[in-house]
Amino acid sequence: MSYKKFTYLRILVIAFISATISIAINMDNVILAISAIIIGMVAMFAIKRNVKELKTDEMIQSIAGRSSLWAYSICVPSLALLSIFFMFSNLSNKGSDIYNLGIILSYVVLFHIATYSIIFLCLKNKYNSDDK
Amino acid sequence: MTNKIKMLRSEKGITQEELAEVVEVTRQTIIAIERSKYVPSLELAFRIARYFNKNIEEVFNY
Repeated sequence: MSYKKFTYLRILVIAFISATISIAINMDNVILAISAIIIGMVAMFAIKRNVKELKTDEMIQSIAGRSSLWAYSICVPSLALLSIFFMFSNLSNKGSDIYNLGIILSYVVLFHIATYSIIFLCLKNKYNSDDK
Repeated sequence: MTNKIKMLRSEKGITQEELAEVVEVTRQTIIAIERSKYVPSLELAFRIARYFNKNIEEVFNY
């Protein structure tokens, strides 16, 4: 199967899942939504197995790396600012939902920074390891 | 960084797709390298140079 055909089939599967989940939400049917997701996952797995053409290479990986860095650089400060805003705008009402949301967001930001730092250090150690 | 891949490719009479298949990258990567929009890794540069039976300096100029 060519990569073009794979992309076409992937769009079809995504459309199927989206449509089925929309119907499931309207019908208030959780089983239908879960079934749609499972069928979609199985279909994607079956389609991916048949793709023999090269899907990724070093340029795509380089772009993905840069995109990840940009996404991190945009998301983390935005979430941090939002959490500060939520907390400081509700200092007088500390038990409110907005205040709690601010706290949760700040933990999400900290988790992001911690994950980034750990992965960064691991990779740095990997490349700087001294084989004496 | 410039390169002579397009010229070498037309001398050898192969398409971008064929070259991409030989050096195990996508055609988009070959297009980007030919247009000097993407600088390949050292490994890929060597693979391309070896395919054309040239030294790396004969294919890529810095």
